[in-house]
Amino acid sequence: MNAIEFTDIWEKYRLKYSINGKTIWEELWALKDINFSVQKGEVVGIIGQNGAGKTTLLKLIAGMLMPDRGEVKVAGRVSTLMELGAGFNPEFTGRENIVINSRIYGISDDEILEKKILDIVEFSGLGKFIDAPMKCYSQGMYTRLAFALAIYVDPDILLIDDVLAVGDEEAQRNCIKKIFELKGSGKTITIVSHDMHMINKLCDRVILLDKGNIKKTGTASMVIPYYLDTVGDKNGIAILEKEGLRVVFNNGRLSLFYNNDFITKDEGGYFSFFDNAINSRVSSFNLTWRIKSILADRIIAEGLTCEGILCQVWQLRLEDCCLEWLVETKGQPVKDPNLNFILPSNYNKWVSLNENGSFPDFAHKINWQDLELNHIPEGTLGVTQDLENNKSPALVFEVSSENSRIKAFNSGYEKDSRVIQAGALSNDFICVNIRLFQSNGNFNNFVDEKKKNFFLKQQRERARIMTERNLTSGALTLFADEETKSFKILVNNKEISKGKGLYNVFFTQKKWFYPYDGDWEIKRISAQELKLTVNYPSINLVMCWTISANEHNELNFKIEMQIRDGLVITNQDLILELSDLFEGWQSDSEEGIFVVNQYVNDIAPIRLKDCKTNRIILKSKDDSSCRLFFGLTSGIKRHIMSIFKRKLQEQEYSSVNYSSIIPKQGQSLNPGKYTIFEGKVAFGKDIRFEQQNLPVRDLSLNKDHLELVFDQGRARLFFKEKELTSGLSVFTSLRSSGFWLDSYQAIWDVCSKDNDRIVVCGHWPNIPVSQTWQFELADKKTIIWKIDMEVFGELNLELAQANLMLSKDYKDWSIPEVNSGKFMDEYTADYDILPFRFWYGPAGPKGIEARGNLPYVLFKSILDNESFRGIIENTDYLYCARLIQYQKTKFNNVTPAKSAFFEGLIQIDG
Amino acid sequence: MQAFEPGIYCLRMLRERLNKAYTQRGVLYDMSLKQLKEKYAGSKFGIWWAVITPVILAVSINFVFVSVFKIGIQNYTLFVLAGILPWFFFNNALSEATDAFIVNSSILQQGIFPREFIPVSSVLANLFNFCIGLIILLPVFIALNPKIILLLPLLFILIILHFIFTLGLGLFCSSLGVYLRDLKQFLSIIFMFWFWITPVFYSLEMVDKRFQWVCLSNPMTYYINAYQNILFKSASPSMPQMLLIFAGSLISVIIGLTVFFKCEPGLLKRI
Repeated sequence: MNAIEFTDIWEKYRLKYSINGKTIWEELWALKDINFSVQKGEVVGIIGQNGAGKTTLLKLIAGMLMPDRGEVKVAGRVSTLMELGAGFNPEFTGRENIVINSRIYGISDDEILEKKILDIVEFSGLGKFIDAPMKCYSQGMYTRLAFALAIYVDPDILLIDDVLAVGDEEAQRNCIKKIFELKGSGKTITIVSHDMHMINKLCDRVILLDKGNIKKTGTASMVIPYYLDTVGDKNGIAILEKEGLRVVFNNGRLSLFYNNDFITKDEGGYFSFFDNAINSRVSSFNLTWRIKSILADRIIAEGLTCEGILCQVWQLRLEDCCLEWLVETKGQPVKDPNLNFILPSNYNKWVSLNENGSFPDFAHKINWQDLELNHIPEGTLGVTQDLENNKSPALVFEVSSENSRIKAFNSGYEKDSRVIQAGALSNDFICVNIRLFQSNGNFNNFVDEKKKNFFLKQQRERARIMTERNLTSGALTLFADEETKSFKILVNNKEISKGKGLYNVFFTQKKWFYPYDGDWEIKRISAQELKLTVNYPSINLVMCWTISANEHNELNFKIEMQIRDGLVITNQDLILELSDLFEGWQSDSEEGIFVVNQYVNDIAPIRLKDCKTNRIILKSKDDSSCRLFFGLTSGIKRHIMSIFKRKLQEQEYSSVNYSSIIPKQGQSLNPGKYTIFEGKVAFGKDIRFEQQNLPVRDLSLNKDHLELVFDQGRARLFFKEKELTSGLSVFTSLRSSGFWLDSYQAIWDVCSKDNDRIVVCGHWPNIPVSQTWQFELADKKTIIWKIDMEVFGELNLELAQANLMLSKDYKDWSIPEVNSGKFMDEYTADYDILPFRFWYGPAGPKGIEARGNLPYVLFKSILDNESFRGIIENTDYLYCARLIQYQKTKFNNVTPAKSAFFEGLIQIDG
Repeated sequence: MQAFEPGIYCLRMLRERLNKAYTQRGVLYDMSLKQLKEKYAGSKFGIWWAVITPVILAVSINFVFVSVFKIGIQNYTLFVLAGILPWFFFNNALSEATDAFIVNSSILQQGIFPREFIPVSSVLANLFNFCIGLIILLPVFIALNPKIILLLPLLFILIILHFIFTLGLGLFCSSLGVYLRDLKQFLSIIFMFWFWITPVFYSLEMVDKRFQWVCLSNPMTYYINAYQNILFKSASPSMPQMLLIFAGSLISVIIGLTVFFKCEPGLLKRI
């Protein structure tokens, strides 16, 4: 049953042209040889360019035109939506207009009219305005009423001529909804439109008109792409096609088709950027385009601004199911450029190389919703859809990850689409590869392959970093960990260091500077050598480590410091933190195990008798598996070693600390380069201490059987080859602001030496004091010890002592004509608690004597006796020795000055 | 191009069209009514203008011709009125019909109805206008000459014939008017002239015998004369006159329809 039938229709117009006053008549065939029919209930769309004859066709159906040739047969009542508001008189009210025009529009029965009026009033939403004269209606109200009347006429055939572009959005939506309803109730609809999307959704059949001829009829999916093609004779359009994939470039817009089905939606693929000059975004489809060149597999198109300036060049290349799309901006650099690709919402799943997920439901009405996929590795993102309706092919988008990033969005629910966006980090060009996969199998294979490559690449990168940062010598490896900014020591690839590993820390400008406070730069000089530069920009200081490995399980390191501004550095420490693997330790003069009684603030120090050493050997449990050597190679004893046991979250570990002795006088440094530490870490089963070239015996005085050896802040006494002193031997100590500093902790230089006399000068760290000692061998059994003290800054000096620490072989003491007693063999555990003190009192002129298994010793203060106090006591358990001390407590206004502090006499009688 | 088909086919087509027109007569009625309403939409006096205009004109003519020219007709105002009402109908109907297609082109696309409805509705609207005016003023005529009541059926026939005459001319003018857009202007001038040569404000007898031919070759003379006979003299027009009137209407309507059908395809494209 045909609702509309066109047979052999020809329609001609005569046009009058007035050119320069002359009138020319021309005949124009608007329709030629038109034959088609529309079934009852069918929805037909008529598309074509302007001037193709669409409106003429509709007018013929409507009866507005009579065919010049051929026959039109129309069955059923026709209502048209061509010019809205036909027959409306503005003087009458809306209701009056409806009533007056109802019969003209085709509503015949009066009864139905009443109901219809109600429907119309409701649909148009005019409310009480229905009774107001139409001259006061707004355009939207007028449109709605006109539309309502035309629709509610209940025609059998409805003709629509592109009027849906009129009116506001809501009106348009209502209209479209109503048309769909009419379609649903079996009305025949013929619609002329340029909105391909609506035609696609609405029409069962599409007729393409071109210059009066029917070019093609068929389903929407067949005819519409064909239409887009034929319009391709115009400028700015080019098409690439290969194996079912068709790419249509249309004036700055890309549309993709696969097997004649739309892949893209709405704007398709386009380029958009922010133009500072006009302060808004510009899309590529708003530019003017010309096709520069077109080959079988390639298109180059140039986009111009409205002033004609070249601003973009597109290059499209189509390989097998893969489109390469490159956009290059020319001229002014643009801000925030990106490629957008609009896809229909049936794509609802996304896949990246390390994750996958679904597109969420649409949230906003108009704005785009960012899926916030911020870490897309290798710039690869795939989109696919649920398996049930597998119509559209899966797509994979690839951008080069160095200069681009890829993002995914949901559009507003009005537009109902997905957006894949590639943004450029550099502003020159963006390139995206779009791959198409017919089957999900192919898609999955491709993605899996890419994933595999990506993981391999990651692994290789990690391995590369590992080798670059690992310095290996035999079983011993140093790993420069850039993430935690620390050096880790590994033995047989198992880490033996802990926490901050091997590091140096210094104190300046009231702050401790750790290696992780600075900027790290690691350079691999060779297979055996690694260089680290730690830059502290805030103090303009650079710490430079050079570590080299040899074949004997040894790592040598050297730390140099370069400063550009003058700095005062009060502390400079080298620390190695080790795991609990090591049970024992051994230094030049003593050894012990890592066992402590209690932790205070998670730290427990292990006390050393002789801390002025710079080498240590660490022994593991049972001493058989490994020994680790950690020491400095500088000869002069300028470092204090301390060993600690630490606790971190129930785990115990140990640390060895070498602190440089920096005398207060030498704390300020001028700009320059300084070598701070130089040493080595070695590993092996038979590590022993090598002989150090220390000029130990140089600083000694001999006379007969008496020998005095000065050892960096203490003087040891020997008689007949037997050592009388022990521990700190002959030394001084100072107490300032509550803490003690021994002469052993100072740095000593030799001022002069001859056969009978040594003059040495020591500078204390932390307090502005230096002492000059003079030892003189008066005769073969007498030593005179003179001490001058210079204070060169503000100092709160509480006590100053000159001490003689004797071996525990001495059993008795006496002060001639005053007192005498025995040295007990009890030593306190903790030196802070009062040690065993046997006597104290004013320093008498006779001095203090000690006797025992060793030769008799007398220690006497010669100068300024009144201000000194003598003390006789035991040391604590660490030294297990006897102490004879002369202590001065009163200091008058210790102002910067040099003064004689003490003069003493030591006599030994064998 | 739809050519002027010979005889029988023409008649068959005519019958078809008349059929269609009959089935959609409601539309025609509505259209005419609408046009009538539109004429007076928004005006204060509305339909009363159908009376006011002719009356005022009659009164002013009366003043001029009685007081100034001293015309010798009794009850001159009524005499003039009798002729003026149909004249206005004729004048306005033709005027509006000329423009009918141009003005109402949008309605054409809205529904499928016979296109001739457009000029016909114009004429019909004016007919209604005329009839309403006549009905209102009829009591005045009757008051003067009660015998008019007997002649009412004849009046009815006259009106119908006059309508058909006007209809034919209306169809003609509406078709022409699409091609000749200033036809309306031409018509207004022609009508001015036509008014003078139609004995509306003078009686035919008053014309000099030498110039009577001028009036007699004017078809409207016979119609107006007939109106005047019935309404003023309350005498029935003579048989020859009625026959002439009948022939005139027939000829007019045939010419009108012919022209219209011939021009129809073309004029549709021009509006």
